[in-house]
Amino acid sequence: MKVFERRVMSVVVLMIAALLLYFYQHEKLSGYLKEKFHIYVLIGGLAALVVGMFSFLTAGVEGDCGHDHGAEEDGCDDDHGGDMNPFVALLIVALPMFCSLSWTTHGVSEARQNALSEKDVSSADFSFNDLPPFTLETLEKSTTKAPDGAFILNIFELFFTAGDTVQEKVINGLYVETEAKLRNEPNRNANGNRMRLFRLMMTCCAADAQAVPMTIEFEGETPDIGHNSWVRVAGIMSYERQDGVVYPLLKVKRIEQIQVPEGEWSEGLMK
Amino acid sequence: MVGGSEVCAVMEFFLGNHQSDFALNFLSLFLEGAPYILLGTMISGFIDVYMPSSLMDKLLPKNKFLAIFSCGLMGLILPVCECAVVPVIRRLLGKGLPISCAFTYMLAAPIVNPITIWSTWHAFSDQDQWWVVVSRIGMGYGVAVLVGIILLVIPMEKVLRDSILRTLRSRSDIEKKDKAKAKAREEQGHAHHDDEGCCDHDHDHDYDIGGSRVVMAIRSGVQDCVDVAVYFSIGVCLTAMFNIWYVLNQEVTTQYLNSVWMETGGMMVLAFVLSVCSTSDAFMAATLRGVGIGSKMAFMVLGPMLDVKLLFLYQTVMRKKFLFYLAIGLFVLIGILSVSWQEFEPFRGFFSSLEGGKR
Repeated sequence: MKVFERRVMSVVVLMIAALLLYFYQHEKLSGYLKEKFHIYVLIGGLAALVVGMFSFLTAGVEGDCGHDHGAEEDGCDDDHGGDMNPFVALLIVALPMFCSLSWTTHGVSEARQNALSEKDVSSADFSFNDLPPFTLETLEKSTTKAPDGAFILNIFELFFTAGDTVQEKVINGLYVETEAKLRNEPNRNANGNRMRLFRLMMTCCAADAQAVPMTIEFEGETPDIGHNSWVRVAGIMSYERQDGVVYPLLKVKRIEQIQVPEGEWSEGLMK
Repeated sequence: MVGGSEVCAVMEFFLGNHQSDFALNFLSLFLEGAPYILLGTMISGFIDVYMPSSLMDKLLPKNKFLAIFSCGLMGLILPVCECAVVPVIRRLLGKGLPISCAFTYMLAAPIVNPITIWSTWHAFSDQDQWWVVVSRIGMGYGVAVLVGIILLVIPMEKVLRDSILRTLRSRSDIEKKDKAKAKAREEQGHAHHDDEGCCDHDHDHDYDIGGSRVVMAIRSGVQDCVDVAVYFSIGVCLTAMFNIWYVLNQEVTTQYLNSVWMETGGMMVLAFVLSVCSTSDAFMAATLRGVGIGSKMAFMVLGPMLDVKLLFLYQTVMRKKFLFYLAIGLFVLIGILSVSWQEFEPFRGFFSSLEGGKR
């Protein structure tokens, strides 16, 4: 029975190995973890595989723990063993794992995206270290332009310029284009002609995702585009100050609905 | 007997329409933590079999306080994150590490280790990084040492769970037998440490360093891994569920965070709920610039010592009642220290001046 129990415990480790290695080779791992953690998933998976297999194959071998248990005892296992029934352990580890594997869509649900993007945040709530300082000249050299001359920038770059007086000067009044999800603007929308763009940002793993929002303003009525649709928007960048907080504001010149961008982790890296 | 599908159905009922978010949270946290759990449990397996019980006595200072202070720095030599440290201290306790030293190491190692120090340094590169790094190490070390000193006066029966106590007692009996046998051998002139050759009868296995000890070390590591994986799975399940609740209610919860005390408390709750690994939590704290430095410090000091998954991992070592008091104590102590630290401007000014030359 002891040998069988050891094999069950080995199966638990092999199950963890299988999960890690399955996700490492899965293209959607980036939807769960930042790239810097991927190598640990591979190393952990391979190590678990080797350890699990070794343990499974040597389950019948009598081990030597290096000290004397005396003739009356059954060997080393009683002293070194864990306090968990291996069958119960297998069930507890396997159940949430298999439920999660069957439930996952590899992306963030609409309800969660709505809840995350509801909060009114400014760039002062974040610190973004990866944005290098730029001038109009460097922007001209490094940024692709749309056919109508709009600088193509992602929403994170636009969002994090707010509050930085040097970069605000470069971007303010510039014609830019960006892609993001569209939703209603719950705050600072007295005239009802504003909507909100947002994209999710991951720090370590999907559980810590935060929404980076930006308000867009229309000259007339808001367009008839479905809630939570992905859009490509172009317009003139500006900033507004309220209660000491700087918010980026895009005054829309054109907007169109688009497919989910390739490699977007929050949508399960769709398409 | 309830089948897996019935349990899955019960989970579906409780999670409502949030199964996919639960799955995403669970899998991302599990994938992030599992490699470290495995690392910790394999180290613990080899400690169990290969580390002589007397080594701790030889290495640690005889003075109890000096021993605690030393163990607070052990993470610099044996760097492990909070998931990996729990199985390691289970085995170190079995090897004779005093409980006060073991807990000091357990609480300090996820913060006072080169990986965490480097990540904090890197994450706060534009925000008083000297001040933040020194503060984090100092506060984490101080809190861990204080807990260790308090544990000097608490009987271990009130701290450790029965299974660990049984192991310690059983080990103690075995050591006594080992010593008695070794003494008897020496008296018979068969000590194995001399170089006079070997006698012609069979030796006891405690000096046999062969492949079977590797088997035992791996087996011990696998047992630890399974024990810890169970509590880790439960902890990650709860973290994933708390995380869903927190996101859906963050507007309600953040409106109460209107004072430095409430903000600090809020950040500690966030650290508790999110259960981010200590090796990377600084990157998350650094992105929250609207939050005070004291609150960030509370996030980065409490998180590696206490979160939802750790609450379950700690149950592999501690009694529930002690764990409850420890959790409350850590929460209050780190909260007070963090707010006080934020107000301690003169010291901060000194570190800012160090960075002034660089800017």
